[in-house]
Amino acid sequence: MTRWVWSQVRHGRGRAAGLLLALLAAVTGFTILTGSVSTQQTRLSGFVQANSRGAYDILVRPAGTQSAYEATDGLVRGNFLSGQYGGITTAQWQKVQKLAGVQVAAPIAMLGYVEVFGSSLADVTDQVDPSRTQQLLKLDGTWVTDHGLSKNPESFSTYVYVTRNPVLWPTWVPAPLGGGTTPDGVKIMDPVYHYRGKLVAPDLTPCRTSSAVAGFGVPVEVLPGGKLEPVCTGEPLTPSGTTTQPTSPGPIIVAQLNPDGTYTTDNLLSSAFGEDGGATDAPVATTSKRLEVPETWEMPLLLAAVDPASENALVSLDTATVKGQELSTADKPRIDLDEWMPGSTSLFVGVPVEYSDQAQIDESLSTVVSTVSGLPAQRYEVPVDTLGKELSALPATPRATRTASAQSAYATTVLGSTTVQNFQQAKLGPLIEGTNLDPREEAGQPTYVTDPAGALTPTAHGTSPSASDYAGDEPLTLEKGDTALRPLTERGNTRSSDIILPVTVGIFDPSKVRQFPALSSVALETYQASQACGADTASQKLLGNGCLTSGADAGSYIASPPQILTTLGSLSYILDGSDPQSRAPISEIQVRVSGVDGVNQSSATRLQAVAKEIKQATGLEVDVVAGSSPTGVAVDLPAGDFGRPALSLTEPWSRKGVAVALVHAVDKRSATLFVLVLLVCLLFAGNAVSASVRARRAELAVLACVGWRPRRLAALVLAEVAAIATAAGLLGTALAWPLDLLFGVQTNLDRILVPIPAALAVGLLAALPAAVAAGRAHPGAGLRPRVTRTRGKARRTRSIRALAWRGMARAPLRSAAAVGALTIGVGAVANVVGVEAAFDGSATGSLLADAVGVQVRAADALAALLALALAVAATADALYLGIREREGELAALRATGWSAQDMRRLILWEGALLAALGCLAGALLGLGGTWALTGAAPWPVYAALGALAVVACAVVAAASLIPARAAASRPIAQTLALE
Amino acid sequence: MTEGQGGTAVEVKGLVKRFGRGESLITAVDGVDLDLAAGSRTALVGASGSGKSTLLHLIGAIEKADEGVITVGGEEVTALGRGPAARYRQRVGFVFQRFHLLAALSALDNVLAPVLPRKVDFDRAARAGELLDAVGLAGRHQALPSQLSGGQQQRVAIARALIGRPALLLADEPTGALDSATGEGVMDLIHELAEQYGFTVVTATHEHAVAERAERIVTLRDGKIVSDVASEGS
Repeated sequence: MTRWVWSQVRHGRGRAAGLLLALLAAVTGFTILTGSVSTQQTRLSGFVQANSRGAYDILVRPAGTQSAYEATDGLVRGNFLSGQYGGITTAQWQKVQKLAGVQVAAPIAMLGYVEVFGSSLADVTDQVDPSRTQQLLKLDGTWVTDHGLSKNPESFSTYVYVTRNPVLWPTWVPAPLGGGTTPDGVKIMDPVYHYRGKLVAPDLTPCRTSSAVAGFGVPVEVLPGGKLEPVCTGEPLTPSGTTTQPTSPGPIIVAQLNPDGTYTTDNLLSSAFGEDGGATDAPVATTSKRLEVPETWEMPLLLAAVDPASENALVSLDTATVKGQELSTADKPRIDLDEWMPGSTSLFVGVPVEYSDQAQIDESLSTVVSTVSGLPAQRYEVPVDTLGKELSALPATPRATRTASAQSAYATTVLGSTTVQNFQQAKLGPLIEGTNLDPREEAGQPTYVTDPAGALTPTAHGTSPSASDYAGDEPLTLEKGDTALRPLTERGNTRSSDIILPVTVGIFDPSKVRQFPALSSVALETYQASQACGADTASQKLLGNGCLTSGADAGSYIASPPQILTTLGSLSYILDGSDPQSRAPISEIQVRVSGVDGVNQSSATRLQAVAKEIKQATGLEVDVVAGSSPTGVAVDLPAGDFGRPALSLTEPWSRKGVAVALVHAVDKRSATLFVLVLLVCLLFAGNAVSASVRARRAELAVLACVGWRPRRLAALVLAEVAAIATAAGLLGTALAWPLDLLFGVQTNLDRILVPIPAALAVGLLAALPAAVAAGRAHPGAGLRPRVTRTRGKARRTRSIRALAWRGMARAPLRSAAAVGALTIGVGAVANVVGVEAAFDGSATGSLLADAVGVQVRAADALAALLALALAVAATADALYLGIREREGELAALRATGWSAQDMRRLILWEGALLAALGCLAGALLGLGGTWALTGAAPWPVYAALGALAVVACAVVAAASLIPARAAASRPIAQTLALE
Repeated sequence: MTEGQGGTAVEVKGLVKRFGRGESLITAVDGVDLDLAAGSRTALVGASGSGKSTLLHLIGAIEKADEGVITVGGEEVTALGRGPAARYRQRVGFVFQRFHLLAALSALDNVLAPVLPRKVDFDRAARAGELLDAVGLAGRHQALPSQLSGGQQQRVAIARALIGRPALLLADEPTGALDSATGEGVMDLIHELAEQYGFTVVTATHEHAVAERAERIVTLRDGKIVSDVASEGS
């Protein structure tokens, strides 16, 4: 048998070489494609594993806080924490901490907004005309937020009166010079003026307010000739040392332009830095080179309590501390009795705090500086009650705009005025004049209605509360007054009778907490501001392709992360015992589970077990977020009151279980591709082997006639194919390494040796039907001319196209194999194209899924294109085999006058028909696949698949040029003689 | 050579055709000179390998001569390129020993096959039908080759050879695959048609009875003409 086989191969070199090449192409294609699929599978699984774990594995929330949207879609809200004030008891947290498998259980207690004042300076020096003796500048400030879309026009106006005349600044002397005390018994201080070293007594009566009860002090201008005129500033200092609150349109700031170009102002300018106007100290005039006007910011800073040790273990808060020391559980609140205000019953409690160095508030102050054309005719004599009206009537010409950001105001005046100190050594006394850590306001969870398209629309909760809502207390920052998208409530139960003094132990940089893969990030609102980006073109344009982030208003849809962190140990001093939150102060617990090492069964089991134990032990809401990934949830933000139009946004929430689903999907995809690739290769090799056996039809018939048994004939066929397949496998092995390098496939010895068994398997599998057929065939059938084998009714054939169709139908199995290979190849490409067109590059799910999707699409495209190339080769091969089998007929046609061009047309038609069938079926297969994967097939999919079908047809038709040329160039006489 | 206008004269001068190279070089046609009158019926005879089929192929421009000149109807066939050679073959009828019919086509469509790619100035289907009738296959127009006997298939092949109104019919062992009675019938048919349409006939055969039906018998041996005589049976 071996000798027979060798002899057959040697004497049928052309046929053997053809079969060898076909098998080599099939097996090389198979090994490259499967190798590529396998490599991609490994890479994708590794990618998913590397991106499957965020900051924490399990999120524990108060019972009943999971919304319906979350439960239905397997989501976890991205903006949960900022609106949750308590709900978990300290005992529950401690239970969670002690559970087996819990590596870290980090609690966060949101406490509410603390009012802090800051300021920025508007430099107006360049708008002063030094040639003028007296001039008035107007500053109109507008608060801008929501990425520039909201502009609060009801801000303020400030006037700066600049004079080159000498200005007398009041100094203060105690009564009895001014006389007496106020009705509530406060000692009165009187203003006195000195001019050229002498005490002078200007008449201040014109500036008297209707509410003023006694003396007041304003700057006094010395006019040419020595006349003393008071400048009514609109914000008189009362003898009690306090000021009235700014009234619209605001105060006049007086500045003396000195001959040397410097400016002298009183410290009324700096008084705005203080919480209450800062007029406790007597005003002192100061001189500087620039004329800078202070603008006051009222900042709502969010206060939260954490367990420092847990935060350090979870996100390395300690390493994010950029100044001072990190918070420590050892820093217990310190209580000092009131030694500064004898007789008071208040406690002075020092609590440790750590400030964020980032305000993370989207707000800026845009100030238009205008020159005012005229001075009020009676500027020196208009009572302050009517001054604003007089001023606002004056024509003003805008000259310049100054802009200051919340971050600069925060950094300069909040952080700049904060002294970082060791908690144990800090003296509380000096802190009295600073912030009272009294979170008086809280902003709850947004509530939603769902629109028909499935987008969430936050419901309005009225405008920000007015002063009356605070029972006489002044509201915090709510003068901004936009429609609140979170319910704002006053925290009436804080220990307002006590003074909570924040001792700043350090400042942290939230961007320096431990980083986790962005693709699997879970909400970390303790440090990171949430944000929502435009979901449609209009919104993206409005947001300048940026994203909406935390606004200045506490009622903003997106809340800022806490700017002030304190310890859980401080809670009992900050929260009053009657406050419900004092009983369950913790808003959520972020749990990291030990022994989780990726997306695998053991980790999944462990996570589920710990989650179940937490649920059972505490009854709290438990979500396993390990392996989750951010996903965009559609949010339709209604229009605001200050110009922000309605916006369609995408807010990142977390989709649970993405990593596991992706790993499964990648495995399934690999198996599917493997089968498809195997099919294409089998079809390709099957055609080649079948043709090879058919070419030996007569020889086999002779052998049958001389007594060879069917089994032996089949064995001969199989043995010959096996020999050639082994040679193809060896060649494939030789090519494997360079091809692996070329296609970026991970290579190893197994892969390099794979072509040998693969070629044998593919060859023998493909040869089996032909071998069986060879054994079964009647000996005489092989000896008769092939023409006698056609049966059935003749069909009219009057064109080259029709003749091509007959040629294709002549070997239906081979044509079907070619069409099948094309269907698979085109279908694979069509599926990739279809899915891409269906999504048009937009997000398909979670960030991780999208990232994997991008890689999968690239890998799929490569695999699909290779499969298509193999299918095209299989089609060209089928055409070539068809030509070889009827070369006698074709030679006869040429002998009767068919030109080479006619012959090429015929073969091209055959190729085009095969291509049309294969491409059409492939496009339909791709359409079906797209539909199955995406659940939709919009018109771009049809367009893309139509274009693909046309291109694929053209490629196959082009590929058929090779056999067409072969058909046209075969020597006619020789071919006829051989037949 | 004018299409369909009776027979055409064939003039062969110093024709040489070799196959292979080196030691396996074979000179199939070796300096053949031959003149065939228009409308004549000539038989090329000789043993297998004598060069008769090669000479026929060279005249039909399905082989390229190495040396010498063939002129058919005043057209130098040996000087034709591939395209003109194909156009020349449209005016030559070929009949083969193994018929070489297209298995998937009916008898009628087989006859039409040569003119499928080109425009003709006659009703092709009508002419094909006429030719099939003329070769005795009336009523078998739609039969597949597999449904016809060998003799019938060769008749289809003859009709196919005549569809282009050739002035020259080249028949290469036209009876080789047929029994003697059928073969004789086929040859009679060819000559009858030649009479009817006036084309020149050159037949390569090794059968004496077939050769005897021609007017002239040219005998080849080792590629050379060894005799050129008028047929006794003509």
